Amino acid sequence: MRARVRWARWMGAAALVTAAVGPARTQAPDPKPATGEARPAPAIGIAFEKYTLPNGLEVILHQDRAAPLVSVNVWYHVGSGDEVPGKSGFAHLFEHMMFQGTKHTGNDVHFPILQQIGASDVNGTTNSDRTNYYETVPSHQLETALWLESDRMGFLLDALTEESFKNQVDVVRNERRQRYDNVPYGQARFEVAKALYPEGHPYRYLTIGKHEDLTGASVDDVKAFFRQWYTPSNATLTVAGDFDLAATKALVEKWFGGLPTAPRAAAGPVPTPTLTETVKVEVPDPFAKLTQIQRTWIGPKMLSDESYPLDVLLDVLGSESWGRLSKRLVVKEGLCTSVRVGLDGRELSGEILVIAQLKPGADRKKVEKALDEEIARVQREPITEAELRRVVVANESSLVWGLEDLAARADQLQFFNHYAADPGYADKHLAKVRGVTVQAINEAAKTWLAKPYVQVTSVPAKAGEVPR
Amino acid sequence: MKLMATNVGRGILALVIGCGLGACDKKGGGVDAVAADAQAKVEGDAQAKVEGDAQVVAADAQAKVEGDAQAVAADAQAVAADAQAVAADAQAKGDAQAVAGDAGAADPEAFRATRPTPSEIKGVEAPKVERFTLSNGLEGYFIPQSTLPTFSMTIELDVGAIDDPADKIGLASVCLDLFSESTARLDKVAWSEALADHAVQIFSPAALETSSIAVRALVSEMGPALDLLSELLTSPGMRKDDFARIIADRKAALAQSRGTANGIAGRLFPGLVWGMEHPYGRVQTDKHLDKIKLADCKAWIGQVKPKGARVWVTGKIGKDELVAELEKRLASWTGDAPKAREIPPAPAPKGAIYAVQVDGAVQSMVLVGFPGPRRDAADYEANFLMAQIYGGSFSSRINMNLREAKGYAYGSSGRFSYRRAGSHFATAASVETTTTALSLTEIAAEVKKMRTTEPTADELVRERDGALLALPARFATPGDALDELRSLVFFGLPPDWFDGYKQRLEAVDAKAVKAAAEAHLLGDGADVVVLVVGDLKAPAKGVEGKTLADEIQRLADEKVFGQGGVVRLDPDGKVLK
Repeated sequence: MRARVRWARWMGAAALVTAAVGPARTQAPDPKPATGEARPAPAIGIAFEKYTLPNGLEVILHQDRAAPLVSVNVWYHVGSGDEVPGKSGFAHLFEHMMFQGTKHTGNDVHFPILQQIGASDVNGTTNSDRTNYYETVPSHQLETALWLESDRMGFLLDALTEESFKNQVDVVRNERRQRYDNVPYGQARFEVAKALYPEGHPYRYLTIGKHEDLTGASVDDVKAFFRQWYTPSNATLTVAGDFDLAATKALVEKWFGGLPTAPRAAAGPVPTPTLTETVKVEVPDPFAKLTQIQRTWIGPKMLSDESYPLDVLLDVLGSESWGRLSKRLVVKEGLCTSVRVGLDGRELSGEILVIAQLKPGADRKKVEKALDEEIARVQREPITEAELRRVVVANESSLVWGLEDLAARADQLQFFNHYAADPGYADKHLAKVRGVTVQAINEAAKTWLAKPYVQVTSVPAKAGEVPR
Repeated sequence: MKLMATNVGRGILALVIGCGLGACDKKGGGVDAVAADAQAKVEGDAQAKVEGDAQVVAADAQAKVEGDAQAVAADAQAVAADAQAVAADAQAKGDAQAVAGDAGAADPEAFRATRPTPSEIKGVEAPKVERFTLSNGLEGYFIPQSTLPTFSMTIELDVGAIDDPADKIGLASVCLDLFSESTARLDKVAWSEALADHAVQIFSPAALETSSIAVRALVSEMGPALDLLSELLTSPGMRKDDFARIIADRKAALAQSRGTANGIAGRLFPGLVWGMEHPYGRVQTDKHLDKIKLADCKAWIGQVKPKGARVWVTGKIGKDELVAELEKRLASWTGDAPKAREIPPAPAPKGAIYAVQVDGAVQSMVLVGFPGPRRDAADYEANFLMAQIYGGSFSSRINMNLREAKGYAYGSSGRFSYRRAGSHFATAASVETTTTALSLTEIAAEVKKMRTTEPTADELVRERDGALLALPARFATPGDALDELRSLVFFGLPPDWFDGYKQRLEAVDAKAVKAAAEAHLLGDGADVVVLVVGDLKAPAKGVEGKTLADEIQRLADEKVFGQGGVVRLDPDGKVLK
């Protein structure tokens, strides 16, 4: 049995939209049930306090004393979308350097210290919009986590070495090999980006970047990047879990208050790319045994008003079994093993994705025709109220389920803070989902899906046909 | 959102944790790496620092959970003293550093050189597990959910892939997939609509030794969820067209798994360690899928009965109300659940370097393993700490070597995967192709070092304290706590297993760790299984004019991993000449 996973939940950044919001401790006003149904809609609410230190660091505190744990999570508002040409992959490579050592903590101590104090969730991730760092520790060890985070925010460069940097270039290149170069459909992702974004656009080489840009990066780049982007004014610290409010504020002041700052940096404006005509590309894939058709349109920005009806529409098309594309291509016509549909929202512009994986021997033309027809149909006729309602309740439900994990909840606060400048945006978000109408969905279909798109078809490479 | 564990192929559990277009995290990138072809979802354009858990082939979700709620509080309290002592040490070091580095003017940042002293450790309120037995004999374990308005329930039966007939490997998994596709009343699409109308999930994965039927919903939808479950249990659809589609999908997934190093390694490795005839080691092919018929599945589902099966529940509901709701829906579902069968122990390891060619692979999957002790072994704690030091955390020796020192891999790990009748160990890494043989040499060296020298005090303290202090996280939610208990029950361990866990861990000294390595970490010339899946024709780094195949042959000739030589396999595990 495949996990019944809705696209949005494994789509990373998009996943967060439908993921965690804190426990319904502060009850939000009882929201109106979707489409007038007499069903008790879950009350989503989260208790938090947000304030800003004089040096510009934003702080979000969320108390939950259910378990003696505290999750510390720092978002730097910089990602691969802020990279400049020739430096693709650098935001992520830099993220690796944040674990190597700092002036006052020493080298290679971050993981061992956290391991020894029972940390349960330690990592950092980078996407196009932000870079995050987090650890969940027993609550009596909160200060240790703040110590580690503050020292890398303030004193990273003092411990920087050429040797350590070169090692992490190798590690990141191995990460790229493992996640893109040595797996099916990895190549397709680069092809999609190449067709969508012109040279110079920061999304063109994906967050992982080009091998040659990674090997070309230098320690000086690390220094410059740190000074430009890793200032307290460009960061948000979230502490979630079991802690005393006043004592924690004092600790935050102690460890972060004295860090020097600079004005919050901003990348130059990036024009939203427009595709003037549909592009179809075929990629021989040495690791794929099943043909995959991926269509991608430029989509709206993360959490923008126009993203809401579109997001619902894509769930109507893509939900497993009952979603229109799955129902037709997987269940009824048996042409595909799966069809996945989703909106990957981002800061500059999003991507609308339809990915169909074909059964061996299935006719590509038939699959393309079915995609064309179903996409034309949602532009022509409104979807049903029943379809809309299913998507709304799925959104409500996954929001609640996402509350359970403390680290995910901390990241959720960060997510809404980053994209909506309001950590408590979950209620408004859900209200917007509930406010979507079939008419708006129909408009979204006509607005977004009528545009040219990029279609990349990954075809199993023939023996000896290794394209790289 | 954390996603459910999903069963891929033959009892390999892969945790899919939000690894998507936005962000891939450590465990997401790792655990699913091997089992992943079937669900090699388009991962996203985002990267993470660590992967650590890379390529945990056959990561058995059961294996990593052990514990019991009741003892957590005491243990956590008691370990506080250790933590304080360590902090004091760090402080001493820090002070020295500060003085040395700052002989002149007072540095306003000097306080940062002192690692903070932890505050008073908190006791953990262990969640209480409530028991019940339904009139149909289903044995219940329940932990109430106090905050979230959710409901989660898993029926667990002692039948799984190990019970598949030899000519129908995959039977349990295919039949259970089919089971939750439809009911007699509702076809697949109508059934999925009925579930979606209430945001209810019902799924039924088969694992190696157990099968599950799971329900998740908001507690407000518990009634409809249980109505639907009851309908499924008493009148499943078991439709012909769904059956045909599932078989076709399985074949497609098998075809895809033959195309990548990860897919091939995940599929073959257990069979190489346990033997391909052993219930834990069998390798499914198209031939097995062709043998499975709809009638087999209808018969198989006939054994999904409640008496003696277990049900694991969390939810924002009282026990009495829960039992009443379950009785109302499930009383008419009756019969005896299957009983767990006896599994023979693993045969003696056959040492060989097995090699599978994947044209154009830019990394090789490298696995080194052998059968290990049972979960209830007397030296479990010593062996656990040994494995942690060797390959269980980011800071472990194998990861620090292959990733941080050599730069051969994005991550590497080494660990025991426990089954009911035993375990196997695997060191695993996806290494840059030209460094394949070099990586194997490093693995052999780390194993030898582990077997012949005692761990450092830092390593022992790090893993021992870390294990105890991480207990609150393991019991953080009702679902987490229930999983811990479920694991104890699965392995036949007493529910109070955690009483004395602290004492058992603390009794482990450096000598005991070394003894565990000598007993359970095979290597230093002993027969162990090595599996290399990659482009064997590629050049080997550091040796002019040699290919990977040449270098692997050299390692075999030198008997680094035992007497067995090199055995070339096809992607289905057939021996090639």
